[in-house]
Amino acid sequence: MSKLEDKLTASIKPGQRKAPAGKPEAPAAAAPVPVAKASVKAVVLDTAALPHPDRVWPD
Amino acid sequence: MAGQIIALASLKGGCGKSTLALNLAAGLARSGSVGLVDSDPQGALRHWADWAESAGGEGLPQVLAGGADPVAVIVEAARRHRYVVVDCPPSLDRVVTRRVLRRVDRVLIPVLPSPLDLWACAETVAAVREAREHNPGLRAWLLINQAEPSSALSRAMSRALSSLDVPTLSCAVRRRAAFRTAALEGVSVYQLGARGREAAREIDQVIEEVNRT
Repeated sequence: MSKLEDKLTASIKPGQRKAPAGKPEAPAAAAPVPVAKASVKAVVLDTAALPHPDRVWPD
Repeated sequence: MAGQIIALASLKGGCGKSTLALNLAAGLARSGSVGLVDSDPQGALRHWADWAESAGGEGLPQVLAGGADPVAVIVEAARRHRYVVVDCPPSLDRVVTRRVLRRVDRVLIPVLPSPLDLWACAETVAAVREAREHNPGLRAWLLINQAEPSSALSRAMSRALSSLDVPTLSCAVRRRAAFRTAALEGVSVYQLGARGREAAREIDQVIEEVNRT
């Protein structure tokens, strides 16, 4: 196909072009909707602040 | 049996609908009676017929004014003629064109070899698709009109048109002075003799392809 043919064909609105055989014309793709990414924060356990494992807790 | 109804439709003006309608009607008239319905408010065909009469011309098909209800005129014409050719209005009157497309058997969509016409004919193709919901037997073709074989754009049109939902006739009608001369003389290209021979041959090819496919 020549560049001129390519250009002419491309100038037709996608929704007005013939659907490929056996498939309905796909609607123009919608712009992706941005989705907020779930943020995961690393939590560092400060073991020094924890009570000693051998500590005896009062009753 | 009702006559075969063929419409010339385009939602864009200036693509040669009226000229093609008259000459197709003249070509069809050689194999049966033809009623030519002018549903274009510009009334070019009625003017052509009046001009022919005043110029003493003969042999043009009977031109019927579509008036306020072109569908009724078409139905009546189909009772009386073997063929009915309908010149549809241009874009300003889409409602009428859509009503006509629901009633006709075949529709030819003339398209000039230019991007503007390509885009406009894509709209007409959409109107044909809509009409088929009410008239599933409607057969449609695109017809490249006023083609210039030496122009790259003319040659590229066929490929671009193949991406639309309606097939394109393999024959095309070239840009020829004979079509304008015929209008000026109040006749069809068939009555121009040698001056109209090539133009008439192209119109014959259109009729033959539409009847064959």
